[in-house]
This record gives sequence, structure tokens and C-alpha cells, in this order.
Amino acid sequence: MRGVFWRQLLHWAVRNVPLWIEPAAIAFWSAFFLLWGTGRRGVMRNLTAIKPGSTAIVNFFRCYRVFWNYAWAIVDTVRFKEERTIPDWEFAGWKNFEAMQARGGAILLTAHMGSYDLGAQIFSQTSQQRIVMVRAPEPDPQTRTFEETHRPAGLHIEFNTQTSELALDLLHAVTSGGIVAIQGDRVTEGVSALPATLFGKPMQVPAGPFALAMAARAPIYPVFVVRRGRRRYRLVSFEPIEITRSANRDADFAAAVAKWTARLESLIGEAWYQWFAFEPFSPELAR
Amino acid sequence: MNVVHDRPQAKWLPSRHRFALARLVAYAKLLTSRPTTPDVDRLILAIDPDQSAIENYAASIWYLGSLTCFIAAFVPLLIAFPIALIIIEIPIYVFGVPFGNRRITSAGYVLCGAGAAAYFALQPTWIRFAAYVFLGVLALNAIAFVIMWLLRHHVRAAEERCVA
Repeated sequence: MRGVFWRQLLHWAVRNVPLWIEPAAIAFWSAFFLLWGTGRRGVMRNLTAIKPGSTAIVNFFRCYRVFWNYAWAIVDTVRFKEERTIPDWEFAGWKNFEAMQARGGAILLTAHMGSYDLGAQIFSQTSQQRIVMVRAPEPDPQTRTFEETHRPAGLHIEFNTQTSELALDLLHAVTSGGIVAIQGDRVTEGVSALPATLFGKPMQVPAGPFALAMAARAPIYPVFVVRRGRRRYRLVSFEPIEITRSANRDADFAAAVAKWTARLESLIGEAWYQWFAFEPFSPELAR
Repeated sequence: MNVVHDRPQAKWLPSRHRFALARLVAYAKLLTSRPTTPDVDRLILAIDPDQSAIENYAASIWYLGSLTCFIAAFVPLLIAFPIALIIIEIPIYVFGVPFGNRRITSAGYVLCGAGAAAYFALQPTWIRFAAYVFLGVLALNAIAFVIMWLLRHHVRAAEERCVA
């Protein structure tokens, strides 16, 4: 599902499908993409860990719900890019959100939930701080070019490919008062990782945000974008995670990672249908 | 795009609805709703005619349901639904590819539906009742359009009071 064709089709559909037909069209396409075996199996395996004791048939229908939510989230993102249409926003944990903006120089750690792009956009509009989004580049060159031409204005996006140069840029951004947004629930190839446990299963989280927080002496704010309905999103901000600096660096990282995965687990437990992880999050689940 | 901050009742602004019937219902709700405080820390509501979830889901279900009934004239009802889910996609490409205009595609959908409903309304099967409902909704929307046009100044004033 990495080819540019699907992106082009989505952009075309967003411009042409009457909005009152969209629910029926999305119902169809969500069912169609259940044929995508890798993604379907990935979601269903993750669900066995999130919902212990669940049956395959129930998880199949849950998987449809994940695909349905994902379809709406990408449609909303593309609609924003194409037509600058924004959804309704609710904010929970506003005091944390305000504290992050007032403080400046922080790391916003989030997950593949709701819409990362929409969340970053609303954030940049409500914040006085410079926001830098870090994301994995598209593996397909055509898709990458396509996405670059449809990039939202007003956001600074860094791709986590050249890790050494990127680390210095991000450190500079944080120390100069900017906010760096990173997705911390998945490790892409070539990115250094830290061991973690999620839903009782061993997994890895990217080391970057934690190392950056330690180097910049900046807090990590867990912030999640949760889709609440058609064109309605909730931005949930949690208390910051402070990384202590002691002689035992591994233990400091482990403590911070444990706090992060606890937040992640509680939110995914409530909104499992929003977690767009199409690959097993743990090697145990991949077997 | 305009937005309203921290006013939950603004979700009933007629400007957040597309069809006249939905705007009329929203106007009635706006008049009867009381100012409340949001149940979240902050709330931002976008003012866009396609923002209403209830309206868009209702219209989609109405069209898909009618189409399912029309297809049920030829195949069993249980099979008609998945076929309807596929057939409902066709006008997107039939009107979208040559015109590339969402309004034309939308009008194409309504015309196709109205044409089919007019045909089935004259047939001596139970499907004529589905056709009556389809045509009835179109007629109600036309009546609501006239009412909303007559009330346009009151509607604007009510919206301004809500967002003031």
C-alpha cells in the first residue's frame, strides 16, 4: 500500500466525492482494504495483546473499525491539505498544553493515532512556539515527491533518515525554545531504540526523544490526537515526563520509557480502534 | 475558515449544515438550546456547511437504504446491500472523471436517485414505498429551502447571537 497511486486516488476522491456520500464510500473502502492481508493480520495480532482472550472473529470486526477510523483520519488530513478544512477540536489536559507552550523547548511525544498532521497543524496555530515535526520518510520515491508537493504550509518537517545531523538540528530547535513532535510508538529501520513493554509484550520505542530530552534538559509531553467522530478530534495532553540525570543512564531512560508506555497503554486500551499500527508491535506477536 | 471557541451550542448553527432540511432542524435546535459550558477544557467548532456528522450520516444512510431497496427489485434483499455498496461508488467516477466538480457529482447522485425513485414509484411492488420516501425527502427539502429563505434574516440574527 505504499505506491503513489493510492495517494493520488485519495486526493482525487477528496476533491470529487460529495461529502454526504462519503460515509458510504468509506464503508466500502474500509471493507475493501480488509483484503490487505499484511495490515489486517498486523492489527488483529496487536488486538490479541490489547484485548487478551479475544476471538479471531471479533478481532476481524474490530480490525474493520480500525480501518474505518484510519480511512476517516487520512481523508480529514488530505481535506485539510487540499481545501484547508479543519475539523472540530476538543482539548483535554489544557493546562499541560499551556504549560508546554509557555515553557518552550519541549518534546511532544505522540503515537500513530488520529491524525498526526492535523494535530501538528492545530498545534502550530494555537502555539507561539516553533514546531518541528519528525517523521519517517515515504519509502517509495514517487510517493515521497507527491507528499512533499502536498505538504501543509507553516510546518517544519524533518525526516528521521540522517540521524546524526537530525539530532543536532533537533537539539538546537529545543534549546532555542521550539517544540519537537515525534511519534514514539514505532521504530523504523536504522533508528536507535530502547527496550520497552506494552500490554505485557516486549517491544521497542525510538531512543531519539528520550536522548533529546536528556541532552536538552527538556520535558517530554505525551500528547495524543484521538478521533471522536466525523470531523471531530480530541487533543489529549498529559503531565510531562521529566528525565532525571544520574550516573546510571540506562536506568534513567528505562524509567522515562516506562512512564511513556504506561500513558500509551492507557490510551490505546481505551481507544484501541484509533491505534494505526499495521504491523505487530512486538516480535512475540509477529511469530 | 471561521471557528467558534468554547460554545457547545454552536454545533447547531445552520451554517454548519448543507441541506435546507438539516439547516431548518438545526435552526430549531439552536433556538431551543441553552448556552452550556463545554465538557472538555477547550472547544473549537469549525463553521463549514459540511461539518455536521448527523446530517451527512443521515443523508448517506438514506441514499444507501433507498438504493438497496431499488436493487432488491432484482435480487434478494440480503444480496442487495453489498451490491448497493459497490453501485453507490459508480456516480463518483461517472460524474467525477469528466467534470471534476463535487457539486455536479452531488447533483448527479440526486438525479440518478430521483430517476430510479420515479420509476419504482409506479411499480406494483413494495419497493414503491421506498421510492415514495425518497421522493418525499426531496419534496421536504424543497419546502425547507423555501422556509429557510423566508427566515434568512432571523437565522442570521440567531447565529450572530450565538457566536457573539
